[in-house]
Amino acid sequence: MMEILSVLGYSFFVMAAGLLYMGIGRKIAARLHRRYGPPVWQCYIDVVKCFSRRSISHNFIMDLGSMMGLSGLLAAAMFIPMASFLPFPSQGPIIVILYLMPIGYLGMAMGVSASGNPLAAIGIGRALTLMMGYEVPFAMIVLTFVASFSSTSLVKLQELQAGGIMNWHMVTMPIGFAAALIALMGMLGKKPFDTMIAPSEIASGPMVELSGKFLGLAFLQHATAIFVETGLIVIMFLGGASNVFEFVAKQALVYIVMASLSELWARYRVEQATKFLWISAGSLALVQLIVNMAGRK
Amino acid sequence: MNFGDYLLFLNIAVPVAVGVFSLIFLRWSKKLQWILFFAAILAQAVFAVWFYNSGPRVETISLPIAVMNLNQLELVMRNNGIGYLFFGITVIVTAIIAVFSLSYNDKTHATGIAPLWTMLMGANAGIFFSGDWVSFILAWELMGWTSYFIISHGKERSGKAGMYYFTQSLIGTSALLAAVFIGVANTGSFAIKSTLNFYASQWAANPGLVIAAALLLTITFFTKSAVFPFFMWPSKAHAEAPDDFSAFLSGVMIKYGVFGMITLLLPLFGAGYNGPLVFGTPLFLFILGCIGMFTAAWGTLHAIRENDMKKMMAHSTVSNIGFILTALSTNTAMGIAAAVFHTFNHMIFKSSIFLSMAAVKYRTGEREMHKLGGMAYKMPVTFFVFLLGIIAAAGIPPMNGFGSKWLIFQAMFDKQWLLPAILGFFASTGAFLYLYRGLHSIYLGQLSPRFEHVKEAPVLQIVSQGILMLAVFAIGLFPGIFLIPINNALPELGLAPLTLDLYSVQGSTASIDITSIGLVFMGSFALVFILFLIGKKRRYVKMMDNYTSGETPSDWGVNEDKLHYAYNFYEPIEKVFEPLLNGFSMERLFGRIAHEAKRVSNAVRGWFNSPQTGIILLAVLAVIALAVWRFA
Repeated sequence: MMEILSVLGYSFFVMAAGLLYMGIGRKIAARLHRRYGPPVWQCYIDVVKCFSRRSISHNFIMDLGSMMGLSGLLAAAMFIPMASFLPFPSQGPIIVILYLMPIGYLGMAMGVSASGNPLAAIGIGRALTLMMGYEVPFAMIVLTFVASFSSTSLVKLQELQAGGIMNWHMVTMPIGFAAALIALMGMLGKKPFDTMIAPSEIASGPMVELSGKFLGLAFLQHATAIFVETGLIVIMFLGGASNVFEFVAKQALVYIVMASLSELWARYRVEQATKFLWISAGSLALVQLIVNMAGRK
Repeated sequence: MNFGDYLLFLNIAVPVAVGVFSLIFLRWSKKLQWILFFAAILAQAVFAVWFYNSGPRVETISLPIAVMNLNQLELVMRNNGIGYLFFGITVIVTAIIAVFSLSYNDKTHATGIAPLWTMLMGANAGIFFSGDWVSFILAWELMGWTSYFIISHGKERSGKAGMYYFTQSLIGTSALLAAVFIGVANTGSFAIKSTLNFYASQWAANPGLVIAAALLLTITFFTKSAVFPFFMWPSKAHAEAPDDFSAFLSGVMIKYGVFGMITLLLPLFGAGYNGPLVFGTPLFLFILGCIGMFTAAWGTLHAIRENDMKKMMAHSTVSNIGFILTALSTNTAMGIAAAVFHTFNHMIFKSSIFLSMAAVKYRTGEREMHKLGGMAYKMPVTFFVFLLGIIAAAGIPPMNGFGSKWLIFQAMFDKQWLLPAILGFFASTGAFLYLYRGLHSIYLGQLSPRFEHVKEAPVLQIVSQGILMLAVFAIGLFPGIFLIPINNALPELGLAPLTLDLYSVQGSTASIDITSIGLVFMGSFALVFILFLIGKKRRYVKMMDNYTSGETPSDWGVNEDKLHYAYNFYEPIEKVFEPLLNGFSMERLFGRIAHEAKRVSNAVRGWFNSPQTGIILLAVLAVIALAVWRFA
């Protein structure tokens, strides 16, 4: 019973935190544009509003897909140890998280495909292509940890970095950290890599047919994705955290950096984005991997 | 003669006999042939279940034929753990496919392949049980030519694909014969064990011989399992074969090479090995591992740009075989367990995917994806089978592909094969691309008015797909269903068992509880479902009632077919890889070899075709006759 409650509580916390980062990101983007911008809590208002409006759907697969989308990412979030707190005992296996997130994307893709809008299908095609771009460098970073510590457990990686900033992997493996940040940019769909939701080209791509609670679920899914992705970076490179506030602060910091950087660039075409991710993030990650493999013994 | 002493032989003899017998009904009743086929396989499946845990068993038949320097030829069948597992799971999966075939082969779709397929199942048992080379090669050959005739099934295009397949099979069989003859000539025995032991003991004395034998065996199993240089036959043969047989071809038949590699190739690299090591693995196996990962990536790239659904899934099979090959090349307990586990998982989910596509083709007659679309609204069960199948194929929890793919990566991490693993992650991510394309183009998107009348697949087809779907789900939730028997069979290969139970498995860098991962996903789904219910009600609208920048599609003359975005789906990424895929084509290389062979054979034929052929022949015969007469 306690486990169910803690899972429930953790789920809501994850979504709430993700929405908060989104709100902060919107505010910062606005300030960089010299606008006043929406309040930080605007995303909460959006979600509540979305859920309280009537919506349209095309068939049951669309309903199912939208639900699968959010649940996949929530399941992935359950394996992120937030400052040594886990909703149920696990080691925080990175590979499992990397494979649970796609079920969310697959669900989302299935839902919007079932709407029959070609723009949505184009958007998903782009999103998956981009996914190939960032997953490969990110996987290489995971391999770097395997090379050095023979571990893919987030809990263990966090323990390894205990005892001061000089032990953080951000400091000990800076090249890998740079690669991870570039890959994270792609994961978050921030600006040079936002072809899949390009509003002016394909009318927001996957979101084109979503209304009411479907849009609300998509919002929550994105919020959860932000939590999971920034959480991975915080634990893998920024030393994890000793309490919840530290964890959230570090995540927010990572997201703020990403959100501000994203205002610097224009949009890549999808094949350019993929190539860029492979060439820049991929080669950086490869260098770090080879360094770590050489340093193993 | 007591039949009880020859149970394993009966598993070969009965299907072959039933197959030959059912040829009689070729003109009368194809239905009866299919029923005989189903009965034969059901018998095998019942035997497999009944035989579970019966322990090792050896059966021998002595034939009064003197070969080489042996007085009599001994045919040996042995039932060992790993062979039994392969046999059991292949026949059970085939029995499920057979249920599908019963319904699929109606008046309009019937093919006359049932007798041949029945015989092929006899060969199937022979391959897994053989204890001597003669039975193994006989079974291997029987499998080769029956499958050739089945793939061809009397159609011109299929004939070409079948020929391509058969040519490669011949290369493989010749290599196998060569490896066997070298071994048999040196040991004087046809027993597989003694030949392998001989090879394994020669590392110090004659390493060149062992490497030659390993290379020959590798060629044999590479051609059968479609590993890199021979990766093209599935896309031709799987695509052109009868639809229900494609499931068998991709699910079951392609795994014979995997079985061969585990039981015949890996023993050569046992304790006696003293050659060079890379990351603690024999160099030869490390190269195989790299080829495996390359095959995985290469198959994925081909699958991404394929528009024909059966060809796409055939390339996907090649990619999966690449993963399996890498796992078994690690030559560790974890690697081999992962390879066998993924083999069985692939058998189940790929069969379910192929059967689902066969059901679509049964109802629509289309194979090209951009001509389909929206099938999910008409065939929901078939859609769910495909959906669960592709989730498994992508290696996503909570379906069965996840556990085995995770274990494969763990086996690579264990050996520190990190650079090949990059290709593995590339292939595994690329898999989402083509699998989603299949889901979208065939089942989702707009439903064409041409298919307005399409109905759900017939009951038997649903039943057979449904069983496979449940298996995908059950093994995904409880990996121990397969992993525990596999683990029990490991000691027999000389490997220490892994730490695992019904729910969880311990890898090299982490241990995971697969059941709890599945439960977490289902729990989150329940939570989201509640959220969905809390939200205000939704209303269903028609598919054409879509956002199109404020225009009504019908005013523009845009119909459902035009709104279905499916052709050239991944054009951007195809463009990136086009130079690579077009510039480096194994197909062209084989084409050149075939061309040169044709030239030589034409020259020889031209010589014989000259008007003087008769005179030359007579002259030659006269000379021979003279010689015989003179020297006799």
